[in-house]
Amino acid sequence: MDWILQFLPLGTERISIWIGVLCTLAIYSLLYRENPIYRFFEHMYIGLAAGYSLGPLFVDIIYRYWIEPIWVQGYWAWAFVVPYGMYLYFIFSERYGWLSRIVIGTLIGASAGLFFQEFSSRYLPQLNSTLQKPLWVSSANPDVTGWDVFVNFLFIAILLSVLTYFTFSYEQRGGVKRVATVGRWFLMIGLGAIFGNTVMARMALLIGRIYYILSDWLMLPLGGGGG
Amino acid sequence: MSLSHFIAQWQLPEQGRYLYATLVVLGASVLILGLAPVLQSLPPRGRRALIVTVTFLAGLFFAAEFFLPIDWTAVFPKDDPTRNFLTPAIQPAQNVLQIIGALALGLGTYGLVRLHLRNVVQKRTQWGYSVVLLVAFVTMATFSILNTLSEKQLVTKTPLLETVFSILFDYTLVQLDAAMFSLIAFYIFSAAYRAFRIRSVEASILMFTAMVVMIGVVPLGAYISYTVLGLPQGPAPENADWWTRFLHSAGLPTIAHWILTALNAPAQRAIEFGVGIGGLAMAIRLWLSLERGVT
Repeated sequence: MDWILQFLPLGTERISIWIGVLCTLAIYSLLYRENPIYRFFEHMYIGLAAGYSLGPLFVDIIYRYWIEPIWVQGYWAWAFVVPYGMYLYFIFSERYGWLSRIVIGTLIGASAGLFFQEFSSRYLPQLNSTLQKPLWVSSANPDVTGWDVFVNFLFIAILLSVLTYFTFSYEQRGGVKRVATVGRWFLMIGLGAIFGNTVMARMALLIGRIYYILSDWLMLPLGGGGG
Repeated sequence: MSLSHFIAQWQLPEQGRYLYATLVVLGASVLILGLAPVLQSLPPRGRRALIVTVTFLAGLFFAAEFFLPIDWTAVFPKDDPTRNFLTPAIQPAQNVLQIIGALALGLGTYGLVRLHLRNVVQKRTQWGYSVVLLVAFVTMATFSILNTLSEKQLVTKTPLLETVFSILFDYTLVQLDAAMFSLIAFYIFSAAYRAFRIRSVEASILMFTAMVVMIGVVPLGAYISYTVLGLPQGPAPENADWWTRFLHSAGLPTIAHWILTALNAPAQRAIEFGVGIGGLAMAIRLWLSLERGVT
């Protein structure tokens, strides 16, 4: 009797858990087939996700970077930014639609300019660390073992062979083609590892959902913690 | 006088700031939006030239700030030697991009709402789902904005706001999100079956690696290796022979870890280098408006 009273949605917390379980089961109903319940919750999900994004968008960006500087701090030059950005909304007009491309051009141009900075801060340190890998055992590096040297050689061999596979500037023949083929095999190892990790990440989410239903909703004593 | 000091002077007076700010925003809106009919009178070539110029200047600012030498004191002796004359303007420029980016995201939301409003007004097929979407959107948008404002202490956080937002976010959106993404777990297996069915060297390598990683990173891998097969666990002793060392590193978790760090990492890095060089080439093409269809 106690279990039933605790199980039923009689308080705010239990109602919340029942809503969560209802959402989960409605989404999983797709596994049987496309149905009205799934479509109802799918549309609700899109509406909620789009609605939620407006809070951080409005307060963390528009309020913080536009409203506050003008109305609170008095920096009037910011007044031009939002009207300029509003040109984006001309995209829905047949006559003035091209004006939105001025703002899109600003975003694209700035992103292109910023990419130089990103390239140097993201890719050059990686290149640097690759080139600094010790390729022989010496007294200068007492911590480096023969196995480490082998792994470092392997690292550089894989890197070069995969890069060779991605070289499309000329036709690959002879030795280059063989290196590219080995590169493709290593690429498959990389993709297999990514695939395996992705599967396990999704499985962790699934286990989390099952744990939520069994432990939080049905209140079965499972122990441990869900994802 | 540095650029930042110069900009700092463009402040409205504290007395009556709200009124002045409102007037300035209205004036700026009228000015900028009033420019639209003027720009509309440009011929097609002029329009393209304008877009190309704006794109180039936006890219030039960030590129110049990055490439110009840091020490600019030879030209501006009183400036900070650790930055060039464009550096102080970087943060405001990034804030401008953030605002325009937010408006671009809002454009997507506006498009979604517009489409579903039209479905409802014209009573198109399955318009009831559009009503669900719009009701969910309006309710969540209201409580999301109120909740974010209350976190900044701009509105009072009432118990009703807290409860409703918690039900909408924690017990509905988060649950739907987790369920939707975990649903992929089922489909990923069917995708794997199709991928692995292809009998080739590449498919076999992919399958073998995926299986080792999948089993190796979960407790099942450790159970098979150390309990069923009885392999020794942990690192080998300092002066162990090669066979003992081999047995210590033959467990599935160790092999999975080695595949991820020694074989997967260089392949990923090569892909990243390819993406980086390709991205750089694309950035230059976009910046110079050589990519047709964008500008």
